[in-house]
Amino acid sequence: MAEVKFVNVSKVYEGGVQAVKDVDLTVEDGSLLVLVGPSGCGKSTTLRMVAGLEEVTEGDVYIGGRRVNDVLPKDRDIAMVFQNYALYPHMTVYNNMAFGLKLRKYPTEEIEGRVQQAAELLEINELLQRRPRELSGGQAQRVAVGRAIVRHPQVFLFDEPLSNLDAKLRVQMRVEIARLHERLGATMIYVTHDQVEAMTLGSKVAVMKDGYIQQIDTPMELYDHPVNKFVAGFIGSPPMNFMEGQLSRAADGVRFTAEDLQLTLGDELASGLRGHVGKSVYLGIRPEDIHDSAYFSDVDPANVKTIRAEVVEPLGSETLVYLRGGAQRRDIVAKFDARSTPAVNQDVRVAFDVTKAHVFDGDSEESLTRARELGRVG
Amino acid sequence: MSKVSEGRGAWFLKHAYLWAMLALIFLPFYVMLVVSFKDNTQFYNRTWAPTWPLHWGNWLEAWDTVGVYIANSVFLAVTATLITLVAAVLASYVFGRYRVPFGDLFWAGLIVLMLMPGVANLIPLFNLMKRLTLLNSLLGLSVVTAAGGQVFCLYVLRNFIEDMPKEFFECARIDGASHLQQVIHVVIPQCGGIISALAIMQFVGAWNSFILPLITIRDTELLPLAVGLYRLQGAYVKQWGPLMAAYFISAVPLVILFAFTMRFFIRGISEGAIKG
Amino acid sequence: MARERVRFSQIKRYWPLYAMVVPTLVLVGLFMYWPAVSGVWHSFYRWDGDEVATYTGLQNYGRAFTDPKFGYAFVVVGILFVASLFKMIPSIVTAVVIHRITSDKARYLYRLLFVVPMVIPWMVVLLIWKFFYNPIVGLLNSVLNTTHLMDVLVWANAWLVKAGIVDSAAFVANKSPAWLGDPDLVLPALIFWGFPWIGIIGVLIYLSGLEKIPRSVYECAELDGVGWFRKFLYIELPLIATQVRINLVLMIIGVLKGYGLILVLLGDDGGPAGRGLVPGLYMYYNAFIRREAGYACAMGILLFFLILALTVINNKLVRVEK
Repeated sequence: MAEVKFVNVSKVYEGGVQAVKDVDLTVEDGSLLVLVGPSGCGKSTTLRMVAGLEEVTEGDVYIGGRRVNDVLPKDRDIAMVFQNYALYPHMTVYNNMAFGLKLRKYPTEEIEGRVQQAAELLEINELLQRRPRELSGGQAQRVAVGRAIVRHPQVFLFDEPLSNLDAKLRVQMRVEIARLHERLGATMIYVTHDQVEAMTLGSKVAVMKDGYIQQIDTPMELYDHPVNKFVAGFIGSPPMNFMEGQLSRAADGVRFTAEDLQLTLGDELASGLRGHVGKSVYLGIRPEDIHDSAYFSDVDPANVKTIRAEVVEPLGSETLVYLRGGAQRRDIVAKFDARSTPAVNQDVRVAFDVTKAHVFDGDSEESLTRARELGRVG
Repeated sequence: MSKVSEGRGAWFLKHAYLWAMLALIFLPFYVMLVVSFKDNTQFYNRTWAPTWPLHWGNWLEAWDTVGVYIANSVFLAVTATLITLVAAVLASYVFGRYRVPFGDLFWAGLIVLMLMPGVANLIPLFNLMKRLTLLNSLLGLSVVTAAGGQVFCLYVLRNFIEDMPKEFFECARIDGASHLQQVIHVVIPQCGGIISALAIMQFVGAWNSFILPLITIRDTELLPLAVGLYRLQGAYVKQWGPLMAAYFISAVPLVILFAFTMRFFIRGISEGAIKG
Repeated sequence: MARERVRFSQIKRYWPLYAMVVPTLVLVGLFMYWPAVSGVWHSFYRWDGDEVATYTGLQNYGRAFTDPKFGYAFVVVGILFVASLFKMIPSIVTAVVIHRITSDKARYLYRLLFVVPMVIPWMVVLLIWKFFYNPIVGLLNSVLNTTHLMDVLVWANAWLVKAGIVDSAAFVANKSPAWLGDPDLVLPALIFWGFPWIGIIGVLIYLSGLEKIPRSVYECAELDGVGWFRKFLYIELPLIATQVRINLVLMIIGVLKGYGLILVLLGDDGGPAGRGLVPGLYMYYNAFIRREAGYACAMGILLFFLILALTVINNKLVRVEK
């Protein structure tokens, strides 16, 4: 059983910097959890506490049911893959992979067997006698993963392993790691700042900010039902559009008024929002929910507006349109249907699919619509 | 540098300047060489131009005297460099990775030591060596030289290790490496360049060491090169040929060392200058 | 990069680390700290270097302040330092010229050639120069005579004496000037030493600094039509000046501490009439020849404080730079 559990864990550095605050986390045996967030959010620190490379200031960490706060890294039965591979430059690939086993005095046949097995899994058999400096980035990363595999650890830890690779290689390796997880069925914790990696790899994703876990959920839940403005803006690309404004009562529901834009939020949304009428809020709406009105008709006419398109980026599969922002807000990014071809600096008729919008409290930035959403679903 | 704007005049000036400088720099060696083949009569008659017959015997005579000194210096330089580096690499690993109690105090003390004029401490050092029976011994001299070399090596190495990405060490830790193993498998391979440069610097420094051997070594057979030559020019006041030959021979070992290691040294200096 | 803290209480867990520091601690503690402490202690005593030691309080220090030779030694150091500033010029020029060589192969060749002299043991270089300065068989006098520069010097000497500016009889017809034996010639000899003053380490360091200047800067200057001298002035000189400024105090300290050169060239008393005396040499002389080790220690402490003050100033300056 290789479950990893954090109970009330905090980490404070000397000098008072609190990197991790009161984290409660459970990684089920055999699952892949992704820790994602901007730089400095505490995700790496959390990972390193599992590894034993950082001391736990408060709380308990359990691996496989055993409390490991005071256990040395080498005795925790974990393996780690680092961002810059950290291969021993003076050893061959084979020896790099075998090093940990040799130090633990495993018999040679056993070592041989394990290394060959891992090499086959990662398709690096021909590289076994090479030195690290002769390897490409992708190959080196695979060796680093292989080095972790041969240890047959209870838990695999990945610290932003793909950050040093170029974009294309990153996509390739991402798929390989996902496949690896399938094959091995081991418990894995994966840290990244890239939300695309998080969405594609994790069975569960934990979004962190400023040392706190904001939300742990499956990728789709994070996308559809973010718990606050930060998570909403972090997940999804291009990111969600936010507009600051006021809520007011209207005959057909609740009206949202931003500086020069007014949207009518229908009955379904309105029910949960009445308590916030008159207060300032953020309205969040994803680019994929803003359409060219010519190609989207299922919308309240009140929510079709005429806005100038400033920049148009045809991507082939869709068209990104940057609609003019006002003095106090940024451009609104919209993902139009690929067939739509607005001209630059021309007005466009834009349809806002308000049923998919999220509203966030102006101060706490917490979602005001989520509870309703979940209630409706559940 | 744009080749288009290069005038012939500029090209000529640059190269002429460099060759002129080189000529001036190499003049002493030319002198050494020429004089080394003369006997005293030739020397006093025509000091600077080559004279025939060439007295090869001067060289044999020189070797007889200076050979011992060279052997001594080799021993001294090698031993001192080894001791210096072993101690410095181990200690800088500790200082670079961990904060040891009183560590900062120790470092402040090192900086202070660097500023002290060594000569004031010579007599107490001499007494200390006497009490430890390290006088008149090349091994004793190596140990003391190694002590002197610690400061610089520690400083450079510690900065290097501090700047190394932690991952290398952490990976080794997770693999189960002990501290010593981490030094062997992480520090030495990664810092090979700077360690080589330091080794060369220590070697040359020990090779040139003069004051300390001057006051601690009594037996002529134990003298290292610098002191030996110094004493020689008093004794050999009239025998210029063998003297020059001796000087020339003294330069050979370092030439060999440099022929093999120059690449490391230049790279090491550049790296050092960057970190600087 | 945060370093892990090692607590003394957890010595059982951290013992390998403590063990690894032991060799350095023993070496430095025994052979550097102890003699330094002992030096400070003995500066308050009259000591012959062996056993005899009588407490004299601050007497040694007082003596140092009133000792004319000690003061003169600093004058010499000052002169030598200023001279060494000028002596940096050939290294800089050489570095720049090498840097401007277009062919990569040629540059490598020159670097190689200039590095070779570094290989010569320092003592050999010194002794060769001592040989050059020899009044009878030395190269310097031969060259001066052959090129008739000697006649110029003799003429200049006579003229200066007649004008009342100079009092010496260093350059007199038919007499070979004793560069290391004539009190008036000692300082010039020390300054002239090392001609053409191209220090290899300096050249290499300047070169590596120059090589970091991006090509684009030169190309930009080309497009602007900047001539080669101006290029030097605006691109290369500022860089070298920065390096020099950073190293300046280190240089001063080096000159203050050094005395081996003088010892070899002039002997342990600073040469004829002690004209070449430097502080380090004076300390050596007192400690080993006159057996007044306590006095030497006191001078050493004073010198240390001077160096300390200079270093502090240097740090402030360097911080201002940054």
